[in-house]
Amino acid sequence: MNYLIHLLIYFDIYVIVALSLNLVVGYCGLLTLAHAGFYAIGGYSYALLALVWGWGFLPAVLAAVLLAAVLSLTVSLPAWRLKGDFFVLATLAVQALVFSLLYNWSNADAPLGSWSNLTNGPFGIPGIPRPEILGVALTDSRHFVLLATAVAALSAFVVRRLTASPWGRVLVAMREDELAARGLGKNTRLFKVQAIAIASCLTAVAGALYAAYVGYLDPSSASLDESILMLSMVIVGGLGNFRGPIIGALILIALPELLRFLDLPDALAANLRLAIYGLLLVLMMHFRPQGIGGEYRLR
Amino acid sequence: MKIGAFCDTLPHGRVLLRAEGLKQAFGGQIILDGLDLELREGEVVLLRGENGSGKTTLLNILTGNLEPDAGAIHYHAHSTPRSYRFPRPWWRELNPFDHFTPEFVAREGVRRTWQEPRLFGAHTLRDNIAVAAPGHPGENPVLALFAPSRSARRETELGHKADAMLARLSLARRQDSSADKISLGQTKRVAIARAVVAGARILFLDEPLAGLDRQGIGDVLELLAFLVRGQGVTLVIVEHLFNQPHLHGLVTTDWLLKDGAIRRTDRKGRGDDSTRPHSLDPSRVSIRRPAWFGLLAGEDMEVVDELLPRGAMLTRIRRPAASKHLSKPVLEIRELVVSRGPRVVIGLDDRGDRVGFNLALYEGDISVLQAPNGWGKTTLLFALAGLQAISQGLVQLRCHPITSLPAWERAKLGMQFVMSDNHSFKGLRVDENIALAGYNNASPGVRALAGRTFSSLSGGEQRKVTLAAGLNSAVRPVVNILDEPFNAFDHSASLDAVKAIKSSRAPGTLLLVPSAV
Repeated sequence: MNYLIHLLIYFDIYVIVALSLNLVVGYCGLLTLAHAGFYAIGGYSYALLALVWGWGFLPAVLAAVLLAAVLSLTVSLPAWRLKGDFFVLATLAVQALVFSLLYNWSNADAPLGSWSNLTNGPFGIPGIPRPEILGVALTDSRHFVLLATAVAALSAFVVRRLTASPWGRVLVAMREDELAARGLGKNTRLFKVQAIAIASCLTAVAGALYAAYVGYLDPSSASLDESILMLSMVIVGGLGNFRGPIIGALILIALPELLRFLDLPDALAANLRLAIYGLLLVLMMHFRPQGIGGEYRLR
Repeated sequence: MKIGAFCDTLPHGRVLLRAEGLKQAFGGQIILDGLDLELREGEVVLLRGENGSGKTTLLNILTGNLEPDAGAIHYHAHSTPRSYRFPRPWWRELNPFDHFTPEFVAREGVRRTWQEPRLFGAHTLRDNIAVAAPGHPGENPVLALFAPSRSARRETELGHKADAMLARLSLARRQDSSADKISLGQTKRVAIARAVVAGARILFLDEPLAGLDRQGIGDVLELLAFLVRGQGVTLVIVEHLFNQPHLHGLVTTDWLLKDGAIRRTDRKGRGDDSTRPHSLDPSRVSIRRPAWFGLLAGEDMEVVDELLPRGAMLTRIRRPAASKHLSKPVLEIRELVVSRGPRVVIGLDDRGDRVGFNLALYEGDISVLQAPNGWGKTTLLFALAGLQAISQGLVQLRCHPITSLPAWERAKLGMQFVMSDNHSFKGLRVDENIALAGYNNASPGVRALAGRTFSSLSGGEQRKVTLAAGLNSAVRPVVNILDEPFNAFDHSASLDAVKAIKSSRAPGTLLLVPSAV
C-alpha cells in the first residue's frame, strides 16, 4: 500500500511538471531544457525557508513561486528573439547556470543557509520538514498524498482553464505563425513572458512538494538528466493538449517500476533503463512524432 | 459581378497614412530613395512596379515588419495619430510601449496579408477569425483564470461574428473544420476576413489573387468589394501583372513604384463597361486561356484542348507539322494514383472513383495543364519528381519506367522541375545556385544578379533564378515540368520566361497552372 502511495505522490508531482512544461513546449512551441532548473529553485526555496528560517508550507511555497516567476525572465527574454536551436542553447545555458550555482554555493565551514553556504553544494540539504497545513502535520505519507493530489488537481485545473481560454488560443496561434500573430496586433513577447512565468511557477510548486516529501534535496534535481526526463514525458505523452502530458507522466513513472519486476541484476538495471528510455524516444520520434496523445509535433 | 460601380460614390476622405522621405537600401543597393506617399480613406490603391522595384519592401515598412533607414511615417487612422521617425534613437527602444513592430503598427488599424494565407493550421476556421479580435479580456491570463464569465461573454459575441463572416464566405457549415482542410481560395478569403475582424482600417494585400483559379479570384474580388463598400476599409494591393486586370473595377488609385519613388495616378470613369476587365466578362469565358497564353502559342502554332477529370484541362501547343508523327511520347503517365495520407489526390474521376490519371506528353509539345485549386497540381509535380510516393500506376520517360527511381536518378535522366515555391539554396549566391544546377550560360537578366545572395532577391528575381536553374539542370533534358512559371513576373520577365521555355532543349514541356476559367 505504501508503495502505491509513494508512486501516486511521484505521479502527482510529475503531472504538475509535465503539464507546466507542455505550456512552453506544446503551446508556445519553445523547446526548453531549463525546466528542471525551476523545479530545483522551487525545491531549494522551500527547503531553505522551511528548514533554516522556519517558514510555514504555504508562505514558503508562495515565496518559491515568486522567485521562479522572476527568474523565468532568464528564459523568456531570450525567447523574444531566439527561436529553434538557438533558444534551446540559451535554455541549456540557464540550466547549466542554475545547476552550477546550486552545486558550488557551499562552504564546509559555514552553517547551511548562510550567505557563503546557501545550498550546501553537492552534499545537499537533509532533514527538510514535512509540511504542516492548518495545524495538521503531514508526516504520514497517507496524509501527504492528499496534499499532493489536491495540488496536482488544482494545477491541472489552472492549466486546463488557461489553455482552453482565448489566452491559450493566442499561444497556439503564435506557435503556428508568430509573424502572422504579430500582424494581428498580438504582443507575442508578452505572451511568451506570461506562459514561461506560469510554467515556471507551477514547476516550482512541484519542486517544493518533492522537497517536502523526500526530505532531502541535492543539485541533481536541477541536472540536465532531470530536464530530459521532463521533456521525455511531454514528448512521449504528446504535446499541445491536456491529456498528452498526463499520459507521459504516467508512462515514465510506471516504466522503471515495471522494469523492477524483471528481476535484473542491479548493475544492469540502471543502464538498461536508460537504454529503454532512449529507444522509446527514438521510436516515438520516428513513428509518432506528436506523442501518444498529442496534437502538435516539434519542428 | 458588379464590383465597379460603387467606388465612384465613395468620397475620398481624410489622410489615414502619410510617409515622408522613406529611404531603404540593402547592401548598398538603394531600393527606396526619399519616397513620399499619402493614403486617403476609401481609396483602393494598386501598387505596381517592376520586379525588384521594392513593392514588398515598401509593404514591409508600412506595416512595421521592416524599419527603414530614414524617413517618417504618420498613422492617422485613429483619433490619436502616431508618428515614427527614422532612424529611431536607441533610447526609444527602452520604452516597451513604443516600438516599431507589426504588433504596434497593427494597433494603428494597419493589417496585412501575405502571398501565402498563413492561417493558424491548428485552429478551426472560427478560431482563426476569433483569435484576431483585439482587446479580448480572456487574453489576460489573470482574467482568463479568475473571471471566465467576462471572457465567455466576449467569446460568444465573437463566435457569432466569426460565424457570420464565415457564412459570408460561403463557409457556413465549416466553422469547426481545421484551417488546413479548405481550398487555397477559401484560405485566402479567411485570411483577409481575419485581418478585418482584427480591426483593419487600412489593409495591405500582398498578391491576394496569386495562385487562384477563376472561381477563387471571383470570390476574393467579391470579398474585397464588400470590405470597401460595407466595412469602409482602405486597401493597398500588390498584384501580379496578369491578375491586375481583374482589379480594374475596384482600384481608385495607382501607385507606380519606380526608381525608389512613387508616382500617383487617380483613375477616372471607374465602373464604366469599357474598362471592365475582359477576364470578368462572361461573354469571353469560353476562351479558357490564361493571360500569358498568347505569348506562348504564337500565330503559327496548333492548339488542341483535352478535357481531364475533375475540371482540369490540358492544352497542347505544337507545330502543325509535329502532329503528323505523334508516335513518340517523351513522358507517359498511366493510371497514376497518388495519395496524401488517407486521401486520394490524383487519380479520381468525376464521380470520385479511383481510376488513375493518364497523360502523355509528345515530342515537341508544350502542354498547359489548367486545373482548379485543390486539384493536386503540386502533388502531381512532386510525384513525378520522386518527392511524393506513388500508390499505383506507371510513369515512363522515353519509354523507360521511372516510378521506382529516386528523385536524383529522375533528374539525371533528364527531368527538369521548377516548383511554384522558389526552392533554391537561400544562403548561396545567385551564381552558386546557377552553378549547382550545372549551368553556366545564364541570360543577361540573371547574370546581373550573380553576386547577390538568393535570399536578398525580390520575389520576382528569385523566380527568374529558379526558372533559369530549373530549365537547365539536366545534361540532356527530356521534359520540363513547371508549376506556375509566370508567378511574380512583370512584363519583360514574362517575355524572357516564355523565350526560355520555348528555347529549352527539352523536347517536351508541361506547365501546371490554376484554371483561368
